[in-house]
Amino acid sequence: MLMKFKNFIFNVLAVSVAITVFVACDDDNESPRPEGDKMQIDAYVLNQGNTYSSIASSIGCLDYTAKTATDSVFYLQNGVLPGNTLQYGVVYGSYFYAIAFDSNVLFVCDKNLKLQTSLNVSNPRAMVTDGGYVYISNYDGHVTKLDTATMSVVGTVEVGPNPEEMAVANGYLYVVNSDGMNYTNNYANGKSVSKINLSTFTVDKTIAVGLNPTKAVADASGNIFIIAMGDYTAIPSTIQKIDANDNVTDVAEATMMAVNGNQLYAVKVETDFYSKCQKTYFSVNTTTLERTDNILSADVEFPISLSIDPSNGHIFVTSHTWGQNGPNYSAAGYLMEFDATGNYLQKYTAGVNPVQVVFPDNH
Amino acid sequence: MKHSSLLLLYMFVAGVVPAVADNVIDTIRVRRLDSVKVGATRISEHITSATPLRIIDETDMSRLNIVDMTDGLNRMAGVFLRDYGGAGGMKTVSVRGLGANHTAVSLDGIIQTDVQTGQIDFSRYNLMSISQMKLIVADDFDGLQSARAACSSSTVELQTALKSWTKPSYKEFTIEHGSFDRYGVQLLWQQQMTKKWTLQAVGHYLYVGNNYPYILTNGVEKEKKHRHNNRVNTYSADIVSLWRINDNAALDVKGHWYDSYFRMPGQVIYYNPYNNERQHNRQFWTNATWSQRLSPKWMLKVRGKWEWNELRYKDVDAIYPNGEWTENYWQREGYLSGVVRYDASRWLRLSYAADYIHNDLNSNQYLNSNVDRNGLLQSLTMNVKWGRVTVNGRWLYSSYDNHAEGVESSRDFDRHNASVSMSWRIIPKEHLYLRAFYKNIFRLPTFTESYYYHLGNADLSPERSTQYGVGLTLQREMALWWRVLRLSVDAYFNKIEDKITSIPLNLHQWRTVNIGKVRAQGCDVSMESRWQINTGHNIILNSSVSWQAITDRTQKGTLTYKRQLAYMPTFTGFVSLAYENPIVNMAFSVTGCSSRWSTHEHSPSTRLPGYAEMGASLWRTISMGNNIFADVKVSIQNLANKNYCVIKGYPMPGRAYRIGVTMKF
Repeated sequence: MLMKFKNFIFNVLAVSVAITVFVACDDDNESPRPEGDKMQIDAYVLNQGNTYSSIASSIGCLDYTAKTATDSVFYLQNGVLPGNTLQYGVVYGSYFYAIAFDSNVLFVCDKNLKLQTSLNVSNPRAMVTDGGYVYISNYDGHVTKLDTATMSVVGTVEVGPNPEEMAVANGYLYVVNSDGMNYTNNYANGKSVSKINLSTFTVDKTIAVGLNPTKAVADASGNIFIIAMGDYTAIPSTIQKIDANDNVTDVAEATMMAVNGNQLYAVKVETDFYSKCQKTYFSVNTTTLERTDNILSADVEFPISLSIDPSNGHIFVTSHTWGQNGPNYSAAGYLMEFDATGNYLQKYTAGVNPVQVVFPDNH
Repeated sequence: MKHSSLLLLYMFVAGVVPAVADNVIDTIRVRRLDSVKVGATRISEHITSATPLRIIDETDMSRLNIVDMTDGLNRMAGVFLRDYGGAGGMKTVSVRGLGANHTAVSLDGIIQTDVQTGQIDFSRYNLMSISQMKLIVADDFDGLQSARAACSSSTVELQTALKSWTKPSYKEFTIEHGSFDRYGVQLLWQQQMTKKWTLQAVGHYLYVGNNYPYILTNGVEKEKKHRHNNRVNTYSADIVSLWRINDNAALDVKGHWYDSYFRMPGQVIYYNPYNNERQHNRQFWTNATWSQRLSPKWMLKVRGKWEWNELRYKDVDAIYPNGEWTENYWQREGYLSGVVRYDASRWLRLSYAADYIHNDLNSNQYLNSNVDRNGLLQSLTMNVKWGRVTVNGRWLYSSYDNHAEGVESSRDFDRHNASVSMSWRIIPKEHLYLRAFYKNIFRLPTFTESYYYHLGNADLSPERSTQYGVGLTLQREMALWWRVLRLSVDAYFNKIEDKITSIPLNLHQWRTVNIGKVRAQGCDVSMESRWQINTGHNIILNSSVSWQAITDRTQKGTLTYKRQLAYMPTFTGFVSLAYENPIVNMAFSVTGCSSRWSTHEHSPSTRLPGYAEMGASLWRTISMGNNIFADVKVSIQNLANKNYCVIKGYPMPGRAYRIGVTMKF
């Protein structure tokens, strides 16, 4: 009897101890805030994170001399996270600007990523800078004008549905209207670029382009290049050129691009997103449209973005790692650096979903 | 008649093999078993069942400190509850690492369906109307079960009940109030219309403001916030007719209406509390069960159901065309099932079941405008009881065909599946059992997986599961004062193959493929003890601890290989302690789990810490005279006000009280 009672007590204790142990061993601890002011920053890496997996964004930095990447520099400098779904960054004047789409926020930092101020902006998608202003495209169909002297919004203009990237040329701002949320209706109300006169901040003209345009850059000669992403199935993703007279011509099939002077670098990614990913890297002269193939000496697994450092012409390709079901969307990505002629130089680790590399003097 | 019902009660309580007792009257649920004074404690089905089983009846609900449906599910070893928090937050159940799509839910013996998502959201059930919850792992080999009830890896059975059925007229009025603006009302009316015919009607309404506080941790900063856009408005009405046609036949007919309008706060997003999603669900079903004893050896059970479901989802945001995004879905189901059971001898029982199911779905969504599926299921079940050994086997043949208008229809399937279980009472005088089972089964691709815009893949195969389990159970009366000790230890090994996985194409579009293998290994240990310290004074201790390794086994060398699947804790467990006495009964409970990852890759920043959630309640029945009673219950959930998440970004409510009063007359 006593023996059984002892057994009973032992059972009770064993169960209670087991519960206490696995309950007590964890708590919500973030690592303490280290100091990061004295950092050499040659480039910023925007990691979008993954809102579906509840992974917040982060901003990392590259040090070319030490050949190192440091992630979470924004957090190290400010003790807070740069929101969810960091979408786009620019450096302008003495500030670094970044927008987070799901967080509806614009962060204004100094070049060491010390947060100066943050502003609520509605569904921010992309940015472009000109004449002392930062322009932000809002996914609800607007472009917002921010005066960088006062850090206040000084104007808003309505454009097409779900605008994405912008580019400035010849006193005009070009913004692509994707109508991306209307995909069940085949992006019917997009397929256009709104041309905004920067002196009046009004839409002068709407230019018809391909299906679902999302990217835009300007070359040194005042040409605009956009990518119409198509419908991700039958209609391919295509680069289109808009010249100073607003004539639109197809350039090549590609899914991402970057420009340096009059050279446009592009990648065409063909993938089913789980078993194969085929990439074509090429460049195009923006005036002659002469194409050079196989420009990179090494391959990345699943390119996310392409950028050029204007200070040295180096090409940066960010990428997801490739896992069993295609890209690892919830795991740390990486970026690869190539010199201006496409020779592989260096690989850096990044955060989750590195969507953009931003350079301090790209304005 | 009355005599036989008393006999039935006695047989339940005294632990006569339940199989003997299930004559035709088993369609009528008997409750308040503990109020019957008998000498011996019944041998629980938890102990005798050849497959792991967990039954929670109304008495247990108080003893285990179950305040919400989710508490009940959390008290079942091997269950993992995906809980998005609060009264309106979605709650789905996976058992032994197999995923919510592998868990069937049955209500009064009839399987509930959602062909769109394949998962049943438990937040829609009202605990007040539930008299018994039962978790069946694999199959319980019940010979009067429909073929469809054997179609899943595990089943959660919910049962509603007739109340105090000796009284010809009975009424109940419940009011409930709790933290975060919670108000609930339930009215129950039950009338014995004739000696053989009883009617019951139940109406329920629940409003929860639900803007509960939580702590948002942003880096080194912690800030108190509230959930916004989280209101719940739900009402339901049930009508039940129970007709005891004669001693050998009974017909139950039920009707159910449910209407729930709720807002969704969404995932917690840094710097942006705005969310404007809302959903409106409506459901109607009617079902009938006819039980007939054809001869001393032959039993027949026929079930039928017709169901209509509407889901209207809306997100209001200027980024959408016309400022809002709507998704509306309508589902219908027709169901007919017949079972015959032949009690061949004292040791052999055979049964055959055939079910026909028709499901269709239409929606306002592109590409899945009108799809339907017909299923024909047949099962053969055998129960052999030979001395101290019980052996059960079931063979199931399923055949499904799919149709779709204007798009490629999902593949048709024919499958054979089998399950077996055995139980051996090791020592004649002891209730010590060894049990083992095997089951292979599959789950169908859902209509969303097959047809949804860009996501749908009509070429998907079913996701296959294989389960093996072995266990040891014991029940003893240790002493006159130590009335019950129940122990069970169960180990299992499960496999999932052809796992259906969604792969994102971009922010809005996904596709599904059959890729992936999962292996689940685990062990559940449960214990229950009841001490009678004096007449009318009982202490009841329940506890369980589970260990589970649920790992991806798709491809070596990948980031997820051999890693614990997202959200699956390595350890889960609970302890509850109740003290029943003539003055005021009390119960205390702790539920917890170890840390988890919100991603399969175990990415940094996606680790979720473990937690322990404590709760306590006090309750008693007060006699108001004139045969009127009041059940009063006061409870506190999350006593320590622990800030935690089951799903990352969806904080759970903090400390909350609940007061409920039920007047019975």
